[in-house]
Amino acid sequence: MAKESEVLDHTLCQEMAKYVEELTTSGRPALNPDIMKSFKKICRVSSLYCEQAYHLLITQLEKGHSEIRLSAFQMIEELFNRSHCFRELLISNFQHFLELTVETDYDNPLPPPKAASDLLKSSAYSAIQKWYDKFGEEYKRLTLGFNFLKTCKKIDFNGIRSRTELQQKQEKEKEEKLKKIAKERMEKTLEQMNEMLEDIKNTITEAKTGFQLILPSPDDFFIETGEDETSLITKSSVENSRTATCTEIDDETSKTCTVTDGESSKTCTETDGESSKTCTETDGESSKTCTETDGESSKTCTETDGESSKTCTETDGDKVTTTTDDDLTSGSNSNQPECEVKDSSDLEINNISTCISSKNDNDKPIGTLTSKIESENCSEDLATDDKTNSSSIKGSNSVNNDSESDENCTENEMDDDSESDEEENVLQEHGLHSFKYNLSIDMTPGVVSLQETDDNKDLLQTLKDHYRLIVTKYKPTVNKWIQNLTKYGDKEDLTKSVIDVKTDLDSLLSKYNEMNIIPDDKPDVEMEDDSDDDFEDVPEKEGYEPTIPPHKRAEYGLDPLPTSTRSETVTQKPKASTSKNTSGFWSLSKTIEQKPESDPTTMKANFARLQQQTSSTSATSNQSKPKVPLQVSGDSQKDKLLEKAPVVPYGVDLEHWENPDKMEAPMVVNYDWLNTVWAYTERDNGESKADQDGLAALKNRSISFAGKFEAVKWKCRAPMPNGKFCERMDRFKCPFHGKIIARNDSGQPTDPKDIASLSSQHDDIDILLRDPELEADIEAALGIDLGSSKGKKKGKGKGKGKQKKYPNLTDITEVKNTSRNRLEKKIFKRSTMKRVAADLDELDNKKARDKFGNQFVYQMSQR
Amino acid sequence: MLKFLFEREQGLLDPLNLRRAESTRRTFALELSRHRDVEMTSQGAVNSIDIDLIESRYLLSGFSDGTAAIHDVVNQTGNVKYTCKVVCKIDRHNRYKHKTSIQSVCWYPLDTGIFTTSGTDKLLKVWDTNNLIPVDEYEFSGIVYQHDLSPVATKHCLIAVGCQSSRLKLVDLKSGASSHMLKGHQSSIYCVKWSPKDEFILASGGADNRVLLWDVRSAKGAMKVLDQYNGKAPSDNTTGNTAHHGAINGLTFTSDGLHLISYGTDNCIRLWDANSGKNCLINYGNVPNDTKKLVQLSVSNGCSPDVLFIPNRSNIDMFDVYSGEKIDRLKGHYNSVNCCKFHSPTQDVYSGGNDRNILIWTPDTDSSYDDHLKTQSELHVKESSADEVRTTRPTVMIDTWSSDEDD
Repeated sequence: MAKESEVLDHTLCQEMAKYVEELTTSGRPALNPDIMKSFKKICRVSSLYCEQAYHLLITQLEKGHSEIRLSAFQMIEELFNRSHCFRELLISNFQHFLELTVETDYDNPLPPPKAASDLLKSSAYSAIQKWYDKFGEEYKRLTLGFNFLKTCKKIDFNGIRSRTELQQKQEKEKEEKLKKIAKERMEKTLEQMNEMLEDIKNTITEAKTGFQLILPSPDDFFIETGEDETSLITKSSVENSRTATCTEIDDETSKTCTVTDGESSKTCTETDGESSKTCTETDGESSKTCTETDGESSKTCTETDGESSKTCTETDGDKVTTTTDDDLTSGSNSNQPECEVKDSSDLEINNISTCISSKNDNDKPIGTLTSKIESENCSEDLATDDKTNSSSIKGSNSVNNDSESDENCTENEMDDDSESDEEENVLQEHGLHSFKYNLSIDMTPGVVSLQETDDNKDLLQTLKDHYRLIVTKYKPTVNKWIQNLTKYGDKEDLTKSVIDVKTDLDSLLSKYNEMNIIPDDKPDVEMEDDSDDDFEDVPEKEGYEPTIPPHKRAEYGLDPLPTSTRSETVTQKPKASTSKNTSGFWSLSKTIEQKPESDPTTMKANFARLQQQTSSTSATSNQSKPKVPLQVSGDSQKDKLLEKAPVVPYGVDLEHWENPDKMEAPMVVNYDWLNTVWAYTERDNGESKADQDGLAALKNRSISFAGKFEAVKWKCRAPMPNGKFCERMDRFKCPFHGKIIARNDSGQPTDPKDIASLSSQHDDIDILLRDPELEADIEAALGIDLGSSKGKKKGKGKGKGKQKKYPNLTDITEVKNTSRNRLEKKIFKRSTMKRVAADLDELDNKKARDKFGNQFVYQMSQR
Repeated sequence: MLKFLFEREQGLLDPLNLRRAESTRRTFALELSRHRDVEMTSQGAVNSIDIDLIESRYLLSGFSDGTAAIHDVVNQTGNVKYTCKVVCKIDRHNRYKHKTSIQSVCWYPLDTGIFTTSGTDKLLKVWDTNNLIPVDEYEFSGIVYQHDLSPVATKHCLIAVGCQSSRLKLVDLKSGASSHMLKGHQSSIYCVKWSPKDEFILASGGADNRVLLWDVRSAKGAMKVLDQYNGKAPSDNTTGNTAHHGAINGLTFTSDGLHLISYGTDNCIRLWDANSGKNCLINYGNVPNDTKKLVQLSVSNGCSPDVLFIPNRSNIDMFDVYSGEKIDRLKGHYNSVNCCKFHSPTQDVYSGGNDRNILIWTPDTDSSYDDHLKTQSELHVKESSADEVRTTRPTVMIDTWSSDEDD
């Protein structure tokens, strides 16, 4: 090993040189640790490499650039602390080192970048001081140098040392202080948590239960059905996106609950009084409706599958049942706003039971069931249900049903064999051809709105309170806790639990926000009365409406939404009816479309009128003109020419078209004199002049440019020396930067052709402007390289080459635009100097003249 | 070395030969001493040093702040590490001290009880060493650049004083008056030196580029004007013979008095035959010299070849006197060196410079000091088995590559 290292490895040396160059020309105040590490690794091999490193570094240190020196010094410091050999070498030449780093020789000050040189100096001082403390005993010259700096250069090393000590002390104190603060904060947080966490949890549970009460989760609805699969699905889907609506109408207590998922929706309507129940469940593929009404007890079951649908309606007691289930028609009738199925039964209206509206793509309800009968609809819609399931539902239904209800059961079509007769019956009853109907319903989550009523008022109030509490108090505190815990604490469990609490709060908030509570403005009682009359019962809106419901877009003059992803889940009965009515009665768009010109006040009518007028006028003009040439000749060529010929208004020049000499300009009467009695005789000159001008004016005919003016939308965008881009907006060519070409963000041309042409242009200009011989002469005379050889031989222009070589370093050669420079330029300008000197001379002369001008002797002597 | 010793034992070798060989070897191996220091006494630059001729024990130094100090350079403590203590000093509060910078100091050759100092306050003072009181003072018309006492004088007791005026003055200590005035220079005289061989021969150099040799017995004029061209001047010589193309600010005789070495601001060193006054035409190369005051050179004693020590800015260059070859460069000062003095008994060199240090350059032969330190530390370990020594000593000298470079 030792023998091997006797000889320097050339590649290693090259590598070292590369590292040194890389590090020293980085221009950064700190070294790149990775490169430094590999550099040290090489130096470690043997002292020979240290020697090599020493020479490399000293060469770098001698460079006339403080940034290079600084980096080199930092590398030296690294090695100095490690290698004895390196120390020996450096200390043997310590005075030179001092000259280069701390400016001991006044004749050789540190090179320009001031910041770097200052940093170099201060860091060198502190390093020397450290070295002295560490190695001073062994290295005599180091001691001498230190003493020299201390005594002769009056460097206050004690100050430096104490400063560093003070800094360390301060840092320590700061750290302790921070620790203390952290501890205090932690304690405080924990304390707070102890106090408040319970409250928060309570609030969360309360709010949750409140939500549950208002919007029961679908699981709760269908516990009775015992349908595990669907409920499971719903449950899982409830997690990701669920909207729920709950409506309670205090009419005769009807309740509607709708839960919409990403894929499935459930609606549950309960009406008290005469006790009707409706359950609708829609899944991705299958939908199910179940309605049961008490009182006179009717039942409807509808089931829709991916392939077929089925509806059974059965009314007991008084009347027969009618149910429509025509999927195809309703599906195809997507344009129709609603498809109503009304029971044409002649029964009193006691019960209101609704209303299941699911939406298809077009946001239009496919089917609305309005039953105004005391009938019981029980529709069941089973997707891939087993018989067991369906039967169980039926069972439950039958349990719920009162007495007279006859069940019209619906079966899955899969088991055809067993109940084919019944199915046929069903088909017949419903007037269906077959089961082969396809009804696809896309369910997407939508906005859920909730009407505030007396029933849920208190609940909503509490919820609102909770919401407010959470927003104003709990959320910020919990956030703060989390911040504190993550910042100072190391108790992960606590943090986790707090984060859980936060997510709970967030979910509650989002739930609340999603729920569109419609405040109950009206005194509650009038509700059912409204349901009868046809007046619109739109919830009041305060001024601005950020979202325009799609059915009203036309009214607002907007295009209908092309594909809306929204789905409205629930339309309350009165609402539904009113909306239907309104659309039937009056709608702005309809009126515009249907009878645009009948109403003269509308804009459309006016437009139409105007259009008519213009067309008629143009027609007349067209007619009138061609008549003349037609009469003159029937020549086809002439026709063609005439078609081409411009149409110009009639004027004086046209009048005198045949003999233009006779054209007379209008007289200009000069009223220069205000005398109306005596006319001034010599008017001829002015008249003739006016005549000429007038004639010229008359002969002139301005024809306006027929083409369309296109504004220039582009800018030149050539990079300018001040770093900005040329802002000129020329059409084809910028007067400063030439042809306008496509440029990228940095102003460089993007098209390769442009690039080539530009560079060639530059070369041409350079060559044109340069006279190499003359430049060489000038350079020889001045002894300065002006860069004349740059174009021909590379690397001779040292300054330029260097800049290109190390782009990271600060350019020390550039002339700075300082205030001093600017002032100097102005003050020491030749013309200024001359002017000032002349002024001063003038002053002196004047002084002399004043003093001695009157004295004869001096006057004589001056001459 | 062993051969020399053996031959010496057998009586085959002249004792002088052995001595010369050894002292030459040592002189050539000079290094900055790691175990010897000179106590710092002053805040001023060291302008001049001198070692007494009787015991070669007392180092007299004059500083730019007007103070002077006498150090004992002989180590009698028994320790290897030694700092030369100040025996006595004329400190800043001494009422007799020079008001301004001291330019030159000189021991009385026969007795350490008397020494002389002179400075920019135009005074030459003769001090009583024991009382540190000037026993005599001589005032001159200009700055005194250098004064010198003849080391071999028995028949006279003259101090040669070179000062700003062009006249070289001789002060007779016996009469206490300026006895002679030697006219010959045309401008200020920077350096004067008595010959160590002939008590009446005196050399002087000045700003007029000339080096004159005087015989003080004839006051008519200079005995010789040294000519750098040896009478073969290339062009018409209007100003007379010159020794250099610049002012001469360093003069010294070789220890045998046969040669004279002059150092000029033309960055040249010239060796002259002291008897014939001929230029020996030895090329020492270019030695930068930009000071306008005295630079003390020194020549080794009892070596063959003899070595010239010459301050070169912040270094001291060592030259072979008779061949002009550069032997070594002593680096250690941090500012320009003003003076150096060879201490012949131990072949040490003392040097003083503007960095206020007096440095001792000792022969660094076979790294004996390191050996000594090693044994010392081993002894220590044996005695006390304390860890400190092991930790303090070796850690400083060895490489301390941290382990983080491993990966």
